[in-house]
Amino acid sequence: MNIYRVRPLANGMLARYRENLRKSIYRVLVSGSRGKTGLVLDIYDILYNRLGESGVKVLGKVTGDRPRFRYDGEEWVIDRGDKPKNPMLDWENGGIIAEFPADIYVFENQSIRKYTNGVIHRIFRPNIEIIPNIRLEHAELGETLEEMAHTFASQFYDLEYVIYAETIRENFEATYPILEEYAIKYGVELRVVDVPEGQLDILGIERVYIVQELLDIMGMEPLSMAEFNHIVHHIMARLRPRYSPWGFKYIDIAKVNDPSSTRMVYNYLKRNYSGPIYIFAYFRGDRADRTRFFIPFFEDIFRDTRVEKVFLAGRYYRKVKEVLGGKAVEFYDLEPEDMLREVASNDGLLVFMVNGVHHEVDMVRELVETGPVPAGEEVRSAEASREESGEPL
Amino acid sequence: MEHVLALDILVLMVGFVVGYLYYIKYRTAVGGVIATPFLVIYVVKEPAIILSTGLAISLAVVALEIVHDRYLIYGRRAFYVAAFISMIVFLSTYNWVGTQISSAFTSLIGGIIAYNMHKEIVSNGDYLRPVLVWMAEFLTVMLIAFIIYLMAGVITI
Repeated sequence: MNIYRVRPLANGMLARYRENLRKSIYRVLVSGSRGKTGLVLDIYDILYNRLGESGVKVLGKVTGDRPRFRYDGEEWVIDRGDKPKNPMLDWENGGIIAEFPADIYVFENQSIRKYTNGVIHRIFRPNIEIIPNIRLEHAELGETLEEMAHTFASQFYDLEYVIYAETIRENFEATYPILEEYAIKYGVELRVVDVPEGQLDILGIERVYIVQELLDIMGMEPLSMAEFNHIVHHIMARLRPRYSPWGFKYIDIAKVNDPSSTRMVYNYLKRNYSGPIYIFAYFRGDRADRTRFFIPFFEDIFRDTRVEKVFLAGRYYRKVKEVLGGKAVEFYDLEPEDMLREVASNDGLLVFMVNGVHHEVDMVRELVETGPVPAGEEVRSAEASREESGEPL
Repeated sequence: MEHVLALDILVLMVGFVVGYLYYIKYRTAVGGVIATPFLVIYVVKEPAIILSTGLAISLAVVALEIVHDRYLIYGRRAFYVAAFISMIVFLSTYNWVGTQISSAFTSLIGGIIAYNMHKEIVSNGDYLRPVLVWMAEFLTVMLIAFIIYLMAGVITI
């Protein structure tokens, strides 16, 4: 495995960064709320397969749980050192651009604040920005959809093209006029992706049409059937529940951590799965904004007869518990194994939701994936796990 | 002395309220939370301080633009740059301005405001708006503070 270690930018690296950025033809920044990682990787795969042999260099970089990039057909894992959750945007992005010259750079926008969003634009100098959607997620990018649209649109000043693909009508109506206003102000061509009505309920399907639009901007042939299938395969793979050795199906949609997208996946699952649904929802203490955004979603879950129980874990979820009424179960009141046995005995579907990045979620996920612990082996309870991590109970 | 301290705290409170209202209205916090009202407290008593602080803000904002563009530095590291420039400018102009205020914090105010201005410029891609909003906020607090100190007899015309 190739490993790229992030380090401070020495003077020579800064010069190479500037040179490589200047020589590149396209710098595509993928921003917005959902589906950035998959989109970057699909764009990279398609461009590399089309152009790699002709000597055109393409680099696709993603962040999230597993920061990495693909270059010249190889995958590189990004090693951020001791503070993987708190990266230096300049060292990481500037360093990769400096050391990997490319004709086309496709980067995932890793910022979750207005300021760092501006910093990323200044470092990367994109000429094309793709915004797959705008959903309420990080309050520091905006408390409302309109504010988030302002945050993204205020960085249009250096761009030539923006591709926008929001498929939720109310989100589109709230955000599009703002994006259009800034696009006119800065002379940017704003292209809106048109997803056919019949496909709107497939989360992420807009990715196909975004790539079509990007290829059109780059003056390339439309997607072939094989390329189309490649993208659709990636989209559908994420929506397929897996079997647990406990004897039930489960799906982890905690990475989809905005309520609008979660609702779309949830509705898709309801249509394609007939049994009772159990939800494991984890609320992070440092993501109180996200918890707040999810309250209306759980109000609907309370009324949804398909949902048997919602297991609540994490911190500061009192309001969610209130709106869920009798469906709410405190995860800390039972052993994890009891929760899983109950789902299995009712042939339920267990859905991980809201937050996926926490050691307690990892612990439950591991338990679901590995199955019951053989008799005699130690079983760690959720409380024991918390005590080990030093978190207050 | 206690009388003046109470007035200073009153001006701080006024500064917070005005800052809050400006933030709600314009969604920018150019001066930060405390820097603008503190600057007002010092300037009302020694108007010449506005010269060194104004110069510190201007130079630090320009320096941050250059440093950010040249070395990609941002965030906390950018704040240190702004703070150093502000302190150096303040020290360099200390005798020229002829200030009697001995608080070291005064030398930092320009840096704090410059860093917040830099954040707003980068966040919104707009140079003019943050400057204008901050000037309006500063003048509003200044006017109210001036009236408060004048009525209390701390300053005279």
